[in-house]
Amino acid sequence: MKLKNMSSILLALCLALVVSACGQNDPAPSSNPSSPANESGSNDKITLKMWYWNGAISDSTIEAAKTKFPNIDLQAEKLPSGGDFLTKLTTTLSGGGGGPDIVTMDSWISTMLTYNDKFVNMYDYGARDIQSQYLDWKWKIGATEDDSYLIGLPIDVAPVVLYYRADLFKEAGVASTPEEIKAQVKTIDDYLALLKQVKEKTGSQSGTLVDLFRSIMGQSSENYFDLEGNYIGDKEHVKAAWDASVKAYQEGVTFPYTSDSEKNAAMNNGKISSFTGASWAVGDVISGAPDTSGKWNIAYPPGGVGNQGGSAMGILKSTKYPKEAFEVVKFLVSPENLLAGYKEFGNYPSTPEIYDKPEMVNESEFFGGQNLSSVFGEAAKDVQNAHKDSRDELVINALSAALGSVDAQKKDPEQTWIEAQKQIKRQLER
Amino acid sequence: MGGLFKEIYKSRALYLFISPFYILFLVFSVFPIFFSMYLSVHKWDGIGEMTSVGLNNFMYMFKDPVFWQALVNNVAIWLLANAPMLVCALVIAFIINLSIVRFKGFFRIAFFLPNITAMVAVVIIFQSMFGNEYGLVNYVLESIGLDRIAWLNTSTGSRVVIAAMIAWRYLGYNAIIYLSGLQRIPKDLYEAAELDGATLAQTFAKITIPMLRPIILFTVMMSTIGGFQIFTEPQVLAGNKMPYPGTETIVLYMFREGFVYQNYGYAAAVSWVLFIIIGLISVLNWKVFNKSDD
Amino acid sequence: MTGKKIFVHTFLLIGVIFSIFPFYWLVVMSTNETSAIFSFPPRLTFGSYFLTNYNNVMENINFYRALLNTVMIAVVSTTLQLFFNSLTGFTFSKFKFPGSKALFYIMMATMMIPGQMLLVPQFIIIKELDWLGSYKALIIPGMATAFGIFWIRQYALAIHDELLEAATIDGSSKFGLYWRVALPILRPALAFLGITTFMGVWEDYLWPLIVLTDTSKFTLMLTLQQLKSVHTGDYAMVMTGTLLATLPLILFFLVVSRQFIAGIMDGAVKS
Repeated sequence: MKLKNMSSILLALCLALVVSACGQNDPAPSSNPSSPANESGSNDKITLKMWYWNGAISDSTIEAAKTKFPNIDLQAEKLPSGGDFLTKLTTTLSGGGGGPDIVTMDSWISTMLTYNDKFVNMYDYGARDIQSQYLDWKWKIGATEDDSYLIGLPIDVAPVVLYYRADLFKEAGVASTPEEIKAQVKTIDDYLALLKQVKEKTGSQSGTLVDLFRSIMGQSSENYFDLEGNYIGDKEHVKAAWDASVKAYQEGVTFPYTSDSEKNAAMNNGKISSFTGASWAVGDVISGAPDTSGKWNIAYPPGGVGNQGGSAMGILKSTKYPKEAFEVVKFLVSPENLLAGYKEFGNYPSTPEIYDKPEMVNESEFFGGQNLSSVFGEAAKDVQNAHKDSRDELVINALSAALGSVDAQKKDPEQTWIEAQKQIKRQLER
Repeated sequence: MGGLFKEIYKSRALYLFISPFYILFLVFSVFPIFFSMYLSVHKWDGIGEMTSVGLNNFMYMFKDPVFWQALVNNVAIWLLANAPMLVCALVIAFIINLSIVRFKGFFRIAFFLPNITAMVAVVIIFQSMFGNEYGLVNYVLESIGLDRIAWLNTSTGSRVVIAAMIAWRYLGYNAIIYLSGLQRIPKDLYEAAELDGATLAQTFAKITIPMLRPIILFTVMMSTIGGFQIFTEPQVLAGNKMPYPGTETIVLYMFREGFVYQNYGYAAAVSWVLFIIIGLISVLNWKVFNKSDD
Repeated sequence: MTGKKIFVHTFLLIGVIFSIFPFYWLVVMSTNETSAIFSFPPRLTFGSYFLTNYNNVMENINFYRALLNTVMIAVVSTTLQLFFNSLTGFTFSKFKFPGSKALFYIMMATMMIPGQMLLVPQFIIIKELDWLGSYKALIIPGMATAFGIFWIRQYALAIHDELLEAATIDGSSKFGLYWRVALPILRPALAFLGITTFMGVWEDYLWPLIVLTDTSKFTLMLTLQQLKSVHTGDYAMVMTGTLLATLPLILFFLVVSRQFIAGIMDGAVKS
């Protein structure tokens, strides 16, 4: 019986080897990934396949593109957003293409720069001509460091501003109009002092210390790696952000919510009276804290402006029609069409020329009738751009987890900092 | 050997019966398995070139405290969730199957419902129940004069929450498995026991358990395999953020290393170590629960 | 006797309350506005927004098209799996042949491989076969599963050997043994396998996301994701879509679950 078992295992293994060998020897036809459907030339129309997600590009804009380019059959595929979209794109690229012509990319576009050879260089098709329309810092996110290769045209930006309860700030006797805050609360230290007074007078707080840390880091002109790829996450600018967050926590001005449900509950019950958030957080506050309608304002953020999100649109190298695809993308991200996106989803456009247009005015009752657009516009122009690295996520996760444990598990902040740095360096050395 | 071939020829119909699985396996799994073995001794970011790194991935893993912590978390959650759940599921199935119980159809669907309920709804509910400041559970604890518990801030607390979530989702599922297994037990056995004046507990211990042994083995095996691949619950509960302390499981760790940090080679190495761990524990289960089988 | 009856029913009812509550909440959320979902303490009563939410879902996605796609895939997959898994599982439980043990253990081992790492190479195979965007990629690789085979095998172990011997003497082929003797006894096991398979296909997300290329071919779970945007969206609408996508599963369960209490021939299984 033993012998029989052995022989059958051997048989199975041989078969396995044969099949896997076949699999590996198969030549991968990377040069011609388009499906037969694309090649059917029954009429003169060319087919362009585009991937996007709900809330990236307005459906009315896509319809307009179809009208504008009658010779192009634009197949817009609305895919799940977020990590799922990235997983599908990465798998498709790893598997050697066979995907779309045009892709929408979120803030992870900077990691795609490593594989810029998978994308069409938009500078080759006239991107330089429209460059001046867009915010410079945003444009650079889609370009290589030497600015010779552009993989995506900007869609929207997400400047981070200060969201606050005007009524509670007033009650606490601190700066409470957007103008006062911009003039008087300039640095993080100013903000911490303000938070302390608000806490004493009203009992309300800001977000968690991790929120604060991420927000301060977002305002920095340096991230976690320098241009040569050296780790600088243990340097002064990071430690200063860490220390400020710890100080805020120790002074009791941070609210330790554990989940988004709890954050919403805290906002709705007046326990959180301010936090820094990107332009898209407007929707979060409105749906999360309905009972506080009319009491919120936004202001130019203390400590400088960061950016959290905002997408771009690029073209894959595997396309057969790069020129036509570029024209379509150029149209989709043109200033007028970005305006439509702002009206529809609140995606703040990356084209400053339209910021002052009357159509951009966005007065929200939830925010006491304030014109949100003017604050965003002002902030968007001042965004600090720091060098991004594909390993940033690893460092941010490690530091956030460590900082979170200072509050949740009452760990010693200095010791935690040292341990977190050790762990990050070990992970990076691999 | 001639005898062997004769026997194989005699059983040709049987080979045909079992062939679909193995053909599919050869076509769809063998290449991926070898690919992932190859990957485990390489460095690969998912899109660019691969570089050979020998056994470095494994060496790093064995020295990485985060990996060991994930293993500990995983075993803790697995034990917390599965042992009580399987026992309860068996009891519930036994009770629903009793002849005195009415509305069996209603109870079946009611207990199975958690397994169908979409995760988005489940997450909102669990977050609202176990929040530190605004959780319903803490609200109840306080109103009866007890202290709050920092559910999601401590390893123990968040493991209990995750285990509760898993147990809640799979209790009815396993009860349904047992319920269908109970159908294999001839009714006359129960009738005979009743004539002898056996209590419910005696019937359960003397008839139900022994008769269900292969089915219990099935649930234990599946809970082990599933338990070491826990992924969804801790991930969705934490939302986009890092998992709560003490709840990062091995597959979460692997997923983050692979799909988030683009260390596909390392992730493949982790997956093979996980495979070996699951294999060892499964063999153990098989030996313990399979005495009277075959 | 009545005391026992009351005790047993009370016990079950307490369990039912815990089990049903989140589903009840899902229904509540689908009848309220988004703001009610996030409020604290949460609203536990029905609102009047169900129709609004329903219309929003229908406006934003092609729900019924996706439903049709999913039902089709699920029915085909489930039928194929029930057949192949029960045939293989029965064979493993009642026959010994050269290599049967080794083959069985190989199959068991395949369940223990973490599937996530096989995603990219499996995508490559599907691409090489030119099955990208086709339902073949969803249905064929999963036609026979280790889970299903193992389950049927465990269940079929209890089938009386005398029953099979008697049928063989009557001239039944091996397939006849499966079709005429085993299948009727396996009905409760098939019911469970049918439900899990159907559910598995219904809720599968990652694989369809990667291999389907055409939104008109999307399954329900993929289509529902189209309702979500990157940041805040209309949560009440998402919940309503989720609820609508769950209802067919419940219906399927109700229809199939009668089989759990199927009468089995006396003497068909070992005592």
